[in-house]
Amino acid sequence: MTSAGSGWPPAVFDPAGPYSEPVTTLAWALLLGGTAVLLVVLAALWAALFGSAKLKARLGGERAIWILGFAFPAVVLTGLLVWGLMLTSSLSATRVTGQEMRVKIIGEMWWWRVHYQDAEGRETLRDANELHISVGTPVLLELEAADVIHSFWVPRLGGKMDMIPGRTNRLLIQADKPGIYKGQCAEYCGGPHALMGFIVVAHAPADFARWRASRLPASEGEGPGLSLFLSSGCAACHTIRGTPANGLAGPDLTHVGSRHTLGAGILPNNPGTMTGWIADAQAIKPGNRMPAYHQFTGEELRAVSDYLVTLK
Amino acid sequence: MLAPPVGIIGELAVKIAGVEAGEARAGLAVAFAAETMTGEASRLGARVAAAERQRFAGGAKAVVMGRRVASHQREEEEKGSGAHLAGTIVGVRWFPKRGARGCRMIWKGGFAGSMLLMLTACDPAPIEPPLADAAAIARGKAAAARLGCGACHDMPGIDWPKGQVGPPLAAFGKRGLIAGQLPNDLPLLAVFIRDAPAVVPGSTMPAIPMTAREARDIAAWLQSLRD
Repeated sequence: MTSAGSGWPPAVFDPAGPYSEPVTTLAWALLLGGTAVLLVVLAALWAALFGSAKLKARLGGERAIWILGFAFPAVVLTGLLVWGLMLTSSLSATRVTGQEMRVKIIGEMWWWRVHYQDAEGRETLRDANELHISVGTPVLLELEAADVIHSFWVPRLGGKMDMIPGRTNRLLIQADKPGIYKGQCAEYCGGPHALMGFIVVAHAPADFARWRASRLPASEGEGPGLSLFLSSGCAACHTIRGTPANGLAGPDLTHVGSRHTLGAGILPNNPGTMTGWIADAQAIKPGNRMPAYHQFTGEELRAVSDYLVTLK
Repeated sequence: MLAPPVGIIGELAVKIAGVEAGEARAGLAVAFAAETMTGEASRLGARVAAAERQRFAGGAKAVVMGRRVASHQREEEEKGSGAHLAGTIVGVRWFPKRGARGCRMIWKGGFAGSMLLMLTACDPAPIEPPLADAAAIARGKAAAARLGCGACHDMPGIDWPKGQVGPPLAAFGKRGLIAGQLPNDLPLLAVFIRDAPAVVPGSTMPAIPMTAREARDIAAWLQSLRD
């Protein structure tokens, strides 16, 4: 599979913030510790098969069973539990200070609604498939699901958290450096689950303020592309603020031209991929809920695509 | 129909062949052969392609098209990316048709003409342009994947996506025409990849932001697809 601008699959051992670092430390500790235990077991196996009679007798003795079979696992596993809980206690979303940026993300088959909120939890802005955050600011995510269980996972920024219908799970993420961080639905959710990607764009604080300001005004685009968009059924599923298009079934397209990806984190966003996606999204992401639009002529297709890519 | 100069190498070859300046096709054919032999084919570059196109066939459309391509390439050069223009072009399919007037001129071309005969005599099959260098081809494939050309085209070696909106591009190096309209040569293909509506008005394929170098690399890769 090709990368959509930022690398796929997401790097899992390359933490970029305080909420993914403990996870990575724990993962390495488990990997190395597990390898050490495996070597001990293999050594014991070797001794049991090929060792001298004396060694075999020792290995089968009561003392060895008490030490290797009881004391060793009890000490290692208890230590690991205590250490793991201490290490990851900072990840818990119960330690919310109120200073976090708040965003609600709703998993859909097979994309993500992104609702930015103010400090009181009121919705300020809607977007899809892409989350913009400010470097150094913790982000409190409220994770929900609209249909089946999904799982939100941006490995470089935080842990993995299931999105369960009827529940709100909370997860903290943070980026320490500006950049694009790739995410992926991590719970099988049907058909094109593997093509349910996500990206987080971390800006320096000043850039983030600029980005936010650029989001608030409604779209001012117009032209033949918009007329076709409205008359061909696109508006039944998609919203473009500032136009009569107010469908809610699919992603909000008010700023689709400025997104880094199309099709939920899977394709780079340029006029070519936009055209291809509109014309036949089924060939790209089989089973997704957007039909192929074979009724457009080439020029119509380009008009719609030209219009959408101007929605910055 | 007087041919404008096509660069030092081109002129030299025209002189070697002993053809008049007006016999552009023969001259160019020899020029390409001569440059292939001297390993300097890349110096000819896209300018020759544009100049040749203006003479090619002589039809009004071809002339207009040639001008479009030429003006594109002038823009590139003005933008300072001209240095890349010739980078990946190794050869172009402009050997004259059998019986064409230019062909007779080549026979008169003495040494260079006989060298050309030797070149062509090695392989009686239709002459295919030599491949661009492997690095350009590899870069072209990577660029096509990165830009998501697969959203519309099924392309060999790119597993996903395999779009069905545009034509599949398997064996594109053997395809006669680009978009059913333009001769499939490298400089022209590069222009088409980057800004299709500029050379094929009405094309569904939109202009796609990429560098001139990426476009040429992708063209080199597509032309390397021969089976």
